[in-house]
Amino acid sequence: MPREELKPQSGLESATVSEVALRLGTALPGFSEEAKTLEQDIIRLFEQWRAPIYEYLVIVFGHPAEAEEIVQDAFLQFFNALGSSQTIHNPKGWLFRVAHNLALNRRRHDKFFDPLEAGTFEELCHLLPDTAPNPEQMLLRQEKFTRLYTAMKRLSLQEKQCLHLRAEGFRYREIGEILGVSSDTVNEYLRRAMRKLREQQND
Amino acid sequence: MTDRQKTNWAERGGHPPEDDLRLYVDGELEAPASALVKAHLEACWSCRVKLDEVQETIADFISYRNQMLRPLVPPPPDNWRGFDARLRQFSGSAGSSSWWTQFVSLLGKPFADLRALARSPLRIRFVVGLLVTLAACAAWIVFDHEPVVTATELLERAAEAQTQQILSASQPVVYQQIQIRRKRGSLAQTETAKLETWNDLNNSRFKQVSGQLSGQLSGQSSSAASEEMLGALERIFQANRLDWRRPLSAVSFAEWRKSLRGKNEEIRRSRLADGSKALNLRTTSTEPPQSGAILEATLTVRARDWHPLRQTLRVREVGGEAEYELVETAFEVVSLASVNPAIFAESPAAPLAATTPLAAPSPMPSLRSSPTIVPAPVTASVALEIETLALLAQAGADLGEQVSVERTPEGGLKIAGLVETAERKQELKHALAPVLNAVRFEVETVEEALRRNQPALASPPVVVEQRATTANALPVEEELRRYLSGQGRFTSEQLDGEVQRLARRTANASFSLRQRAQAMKRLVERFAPEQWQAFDEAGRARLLDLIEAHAAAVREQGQALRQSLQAIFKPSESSSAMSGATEITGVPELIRAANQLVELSATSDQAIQAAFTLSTDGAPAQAIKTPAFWSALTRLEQVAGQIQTGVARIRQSPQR
Repeated sequence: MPREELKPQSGLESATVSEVALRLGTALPGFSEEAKTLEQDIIRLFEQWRAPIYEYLVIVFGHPAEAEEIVQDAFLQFFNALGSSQTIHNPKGWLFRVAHNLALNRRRHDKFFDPLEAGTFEELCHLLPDTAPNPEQMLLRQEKFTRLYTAMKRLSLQEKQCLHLRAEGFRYREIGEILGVSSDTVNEYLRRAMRKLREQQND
Repeated sequence: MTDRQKTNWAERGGHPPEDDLRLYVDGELEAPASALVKAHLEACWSCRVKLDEVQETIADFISYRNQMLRPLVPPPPDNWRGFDARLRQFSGSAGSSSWWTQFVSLLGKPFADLRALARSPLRIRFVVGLLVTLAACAAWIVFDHEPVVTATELLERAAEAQTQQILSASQPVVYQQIQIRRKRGSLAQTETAKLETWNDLNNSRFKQVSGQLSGQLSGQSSSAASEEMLGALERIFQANRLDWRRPLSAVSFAEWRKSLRGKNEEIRRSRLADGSKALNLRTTSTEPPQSGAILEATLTVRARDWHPLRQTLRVREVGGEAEYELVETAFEVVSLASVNPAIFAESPAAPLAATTPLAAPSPMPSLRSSPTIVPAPVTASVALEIETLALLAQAGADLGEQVSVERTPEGGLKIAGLVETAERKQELKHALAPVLNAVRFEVETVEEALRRNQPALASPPVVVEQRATTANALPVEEELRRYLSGQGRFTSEQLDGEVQRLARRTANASFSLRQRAQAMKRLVERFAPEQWQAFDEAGRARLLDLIEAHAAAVREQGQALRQSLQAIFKPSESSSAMSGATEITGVPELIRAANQLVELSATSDQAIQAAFTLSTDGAPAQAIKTPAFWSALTRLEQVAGQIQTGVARIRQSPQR
């Protein structure tokens, strides 16, 4: 199973990315002038992508302050990697992978694990901002969400990670790259996750 | 279509299994199989309905995620502040830009047009610069009124300070004397007692002596009442995850705090009786109160050295509340040699088990009820071994934790090791779920291992990887201070904290880099070159993936580390000595390179740890300023890069 480079994603993102990628190969050593624009590119990418990465980290690992720092660290490493003329074909996947690993590193010291769903369902509902759907809609959804909440509790960390990354638009192979497992393993995690969600639905 | 898929269809009377439907909608089936499923779906009502169910599950998850979880994610606490500046620092270390451009870009996009002003006459530049400076100062005053320290930080610092203190003694024994007072009921009835504990850390021995306060008025508190109170307090400790062996410690407090589902916290400054400053953490549980539960606890630490001095617990009891106050009256870390041997004589390790506060691990959902990918073989395949290694790597368990994959005498696979908490053990079990009924899982928590009283476990592995930076001066304090204040982003009060933070971050980054390199070496050396020849293609690729991922991480982290250090120390010339760049074409060279990487990372880590943590001997702290250090750091990246290229080459080379 030879490892292929990840394909760039379509649309706006890949345009920005290829711009960056083009610039990157030639960035060193005549750095300072090039770097100014590279910096600007990184800042633009940072503004585009920090939110989904941050959300993913907070939902799965918790600790907003740590998550914020990790997202920044990931982008700095990204800047570094580009600056040293590495070619990164799938920046979004790369950033998620690095952020994920940084989060795992911190977790091992046990300072960084307090996933969003740790509280009881009532607590979570209580915390929801008022901008959420109106009370009536909420009531209608309450039953469904209670069941989903219970089902999510039964998922392992990896199963949850796969679901959230899939919801972010990553392919199985890309998820595998981020988590450091094969796409077969991702498939297995998703199979289990879907089964657990279904079981709860049918109860 | 694979054979497996064919069988699956056949077993279901010619219908695709649900998994294939999901793979199909996810676009993960290969073209021929996908075409078959598509054709089948057009023809089959039942499968179309099944497909709808799959979609519905997906829709449910997405609406739950979007309407429930995402609204709960708080905005980033710092509102992304500081990224631009950090980015400047990074690029500043590679190239150079003037203070003006740095300054303008520091202000971010809204002020980007000011860049044009950089070319206008000097006077205008000056005026605008002044205005902008004033605005920036105002912004800082408005936004920067956070407390000096968070609850987590306070507890971490206190724990770290204590670890450091303990490490300073050889064969440390921690002695603590505490005065305990309980108030309950409306009668303001008060009991008091004294508690002395000795913890022999190297031999896991523990001794506790209780008694009445000396000089106590007779009748005020009988010895029976003291005993009753201590018994009650011990039960409260056990029920609330506090550590009875360390009754007044940040670590114990943090354990309880972590176990809370909901809490409110505040930190206040206060003064101690002797006039010195202290910090007061108050944590209030928001859980529904149960009898025996702690409703609120406070911990007071001395600001100078983060040493915990006082703790109070407000506890729910049947028919009311009780308040316990624990005040430290003596604390000492002494070496075992100076302790009267009689103290530990009568009770070797026994009290540990008797007073272990942790509840039994919670039951976990059976993993074996679900079918797993791998059947249980008598002799485990190399593929299984590699998959197991990959799963461990993914869970981050290959970096320094004492978890290993071993062959049993019968040829099976065993995952053995020691982890710190029951939660971590559960997590590893979850992570290994796909292979769990094919391998033996023998991971223990420290607690379990101690309970078994295994003689081999002479020293508790608790502090192995804690890198404590202390509140005292660091060997490179001056450089850090100059560097950080040069950025002009911090007030002088903030600066102390930032120096510590930067030091801690650097020391941790270096340590994690070293662990990476070691993890890679272990992987590379795991199989003999002959074994490599015998791998199947998938297994080989998987192993190479793992090695490459480690190498890439070492390179990325090494580079980040080097650049941030360069920004601080500005070494006179960056040595780019590319000496002895041997090409890696096969496994033996790979092994050699991995060893080299470990040596380089050890060299640089030693220099960094010496410089960024408080060391007892000052001399080696200067290693970081030598050319040898910088060339080790540069070389580290080069070797990691060579390994990456080498792995790519090996991957493409035909397997014999």
